[in-house]
Amino acid sequence: MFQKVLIANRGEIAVRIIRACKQMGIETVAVYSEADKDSLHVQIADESVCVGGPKSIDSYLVQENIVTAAISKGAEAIHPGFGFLSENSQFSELCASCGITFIGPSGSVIDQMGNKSRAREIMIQAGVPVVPGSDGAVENIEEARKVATEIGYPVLIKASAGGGGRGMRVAYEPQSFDVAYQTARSEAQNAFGDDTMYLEKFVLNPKHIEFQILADKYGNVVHLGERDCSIQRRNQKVIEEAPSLISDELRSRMGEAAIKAAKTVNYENAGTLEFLVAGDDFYFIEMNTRIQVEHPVTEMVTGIDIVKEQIKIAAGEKLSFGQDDIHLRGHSIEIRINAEDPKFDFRPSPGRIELLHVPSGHGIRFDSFIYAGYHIPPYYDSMMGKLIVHAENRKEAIKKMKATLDELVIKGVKSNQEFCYMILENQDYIDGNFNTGYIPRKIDQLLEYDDCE
Amino acid sequence: MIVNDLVNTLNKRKESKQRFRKAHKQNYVNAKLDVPKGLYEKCPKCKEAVHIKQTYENMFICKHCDEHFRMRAIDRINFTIDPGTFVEKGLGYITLNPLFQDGYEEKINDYKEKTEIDEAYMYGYGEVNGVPCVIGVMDSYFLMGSMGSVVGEKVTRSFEYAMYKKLPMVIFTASGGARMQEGIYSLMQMAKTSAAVLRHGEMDLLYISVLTHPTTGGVTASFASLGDIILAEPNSLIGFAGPRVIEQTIGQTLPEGFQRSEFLQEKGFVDKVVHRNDMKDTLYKLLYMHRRY
Amino acid sequence: MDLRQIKNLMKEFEDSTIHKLEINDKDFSIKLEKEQPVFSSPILDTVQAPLRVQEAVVPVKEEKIVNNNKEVKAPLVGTFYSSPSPDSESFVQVGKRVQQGDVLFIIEAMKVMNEITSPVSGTIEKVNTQDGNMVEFGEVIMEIKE
Repeated sequence: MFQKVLIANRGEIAVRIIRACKQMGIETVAVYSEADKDSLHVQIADESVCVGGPKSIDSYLVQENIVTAAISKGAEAIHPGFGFLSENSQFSELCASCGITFIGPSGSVIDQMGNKSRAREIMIQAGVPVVPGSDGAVENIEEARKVATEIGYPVLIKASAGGGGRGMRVAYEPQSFDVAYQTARSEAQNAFGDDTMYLEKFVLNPKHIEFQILADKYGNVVHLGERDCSIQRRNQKVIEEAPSLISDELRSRMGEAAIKAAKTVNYENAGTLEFLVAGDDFYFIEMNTRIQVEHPVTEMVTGIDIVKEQIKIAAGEKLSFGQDDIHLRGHSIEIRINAEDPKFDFRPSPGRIELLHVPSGHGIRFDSFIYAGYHIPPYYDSMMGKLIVHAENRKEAIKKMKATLDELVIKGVKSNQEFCYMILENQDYIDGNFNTGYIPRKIDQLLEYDDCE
Repeated sequence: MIVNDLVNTLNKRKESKQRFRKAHKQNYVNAKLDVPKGLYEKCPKCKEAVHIKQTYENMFICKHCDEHFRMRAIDRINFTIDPGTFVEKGLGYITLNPLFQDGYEEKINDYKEKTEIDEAYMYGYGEVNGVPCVIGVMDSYFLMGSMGSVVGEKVTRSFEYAMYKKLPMVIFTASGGARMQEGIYSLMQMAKTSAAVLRHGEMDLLYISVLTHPTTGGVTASFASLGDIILAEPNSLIGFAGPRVIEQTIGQTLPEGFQRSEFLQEKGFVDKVVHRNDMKDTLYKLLYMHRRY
Repeated sequence: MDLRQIKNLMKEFEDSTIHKLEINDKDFSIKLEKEQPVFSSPILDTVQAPLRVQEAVVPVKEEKIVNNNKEVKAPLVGTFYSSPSPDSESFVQVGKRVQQGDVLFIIEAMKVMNEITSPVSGTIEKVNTQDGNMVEFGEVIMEIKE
């Protein structure tokens, strides 16, 4: 087992990982930018190293500073968290060259699955259902047009190197195809430096269901059930829950496909496979080769500490449980609490936390890094923390979340707390009647909360 | 100051715990953890550390300051020509020592071993995004890319091959000039190659010369400057005589950016300065526009 | 206690910053009191306290000087070396005069030596770290008095 681990991240996930390490008796090294000197993850880590200026590109993304800090402090492993360098194959390889264990899959697996069109090809070969579309990348606009006609409109034109909703355009009919293709292509070239494109049939307002998997170095792969992350706004998740409302039969089919996919690429460590579900059909869209923001809901229903498992796997331990040992109990919901003002187009609202009151109790968890008096820096994303509840069933979970949200007080910055409360009160949400189009459809209704701050 | 309360409390707690923990050297070096040599090197321009393999994948461009490093001829071909389409021509030339210069033969053998190529120029058939052409690249790692008899002969032969196949010609130049050790034989290559360019041009075939860092001396004064279209990489040294000689001769200080690609473009000696990332695409467009049926 | 001892005691008492002294002996007692000086701190019951007050004054003065010094901060994370090679002399020492652009020290990272040059001309006032130590981004390595 590692004696010392460096956490190459910040904010809430850095706190989460440091806590897991401390609980395992592992010494921790935090890295921070000049803007994060007072951040909680720096305070609770045993040691810390300043790695750059306030902007991420000058600090959390400077691979050399982070590796040098790890070597100087004697950290045998680096946990990259999510975002930043977590899916950067060059960073994974750099760690390997220097004898540091990267807590995640190898650089080549990250590359394979990070390239969306390549991942699609691999899944097709493995017999995992994918959204009907091009076999891999399309060479040019003529081929793209041909594929679009074959799979039928509307089509979604996506960038191989893409993410976060960029480099993507929908073409609803043949006339608008050319423009959509060129625009998506140049956006991809500008944003990612790679304009390789592929096509998918545009599934209108599907459910977004993702499966959590864990794989050790010895070929053992298990899935920890699924999460429903359909409540999204502009491709950013807002509310996540586990398990979803899919049937047990569909769950076992999808779980099998997820495990098959992971075994095909010799996956190692934690990962998530994202699927689109329409009716009784499911289609693979992409795989995330890192721990995800919404991992707590899976932890609540399975009782497994995913971050600890990541560390154990990276240290060479065999998975201590098999698929039969995993049971999904109860229902868990997570809400991302962001420092933003929904009424003003969700613009970020950094500032100083003047008052913080966090509720607690049976099945209630608040994963965060804020504290009273903390000044939220404007340089990073606006997520302040995640409120998670676990109850016997979905109905109870919703009631518990509403009661908990009612008690949560964050004064000093605007938050999306009330906005999320409106979602929990909405009958469609309660009935499970929602898909990825939910927030855009209901946005006006949901913004009708009282802004008492 | 409320912020410092939590920070101070946790810091004090950390400090007091450190006293009880067994002595743990702050900067201990774990023998297994170290940066291997040859992983990083210094950029000659901005002095920052660059990862060698990543820079190679980034076409030998410094990711900090965008400085275009020199590269091997074979790498240039790999970055420009579609994979699997390059067929090398003009193999088997042997460099001789016509003026019986001391140490010249040893030097040649030295460079052959070091660089694993025979001479400072290679050429062949290749396709750029499907458009066929003859591509020739000078390798500045072989005796500074200097032009001797073999280089001059190969350049000439590459144009003759292009004439035979009725193909356009693309040459990437990088040279310290004519090779001193071969004296007049080297200077003669200037005339020979220029004649080959002319004959190729009389067949209405396109010749694009791409000037890379550094392109100087007899090469600049012959085939490099005779392209129908002359491109250059950013901030490359392109000139004939050295800057000190020029300064002493004209007795004036040279202007800023003298003998660099952008300066030449301004003065009309270079048609376009093209970033290495855009080079293949630019060549493709030009070759495509000039293709013949 | 004779008169001379009492006079000495009074003088000591006068010079000290304690404002109340009471001595009780078998057949003798003396009590001395004086006006509380304005600047003494309320915790002055031990002789050590005045020293602390003195010390508290000095750092304030030093900080004023520090503000005039140009701080040379590390622009990256690495290992600090004061000389170009293990057996050569260090680039600079405290007291040395340097010109803008002179090499002050090396920070090694990824086996690449980065020479850090002086941003101003002046005299080396302070060197805050030692050969072979790890330095963080933004750490003040040297201070130069212009």
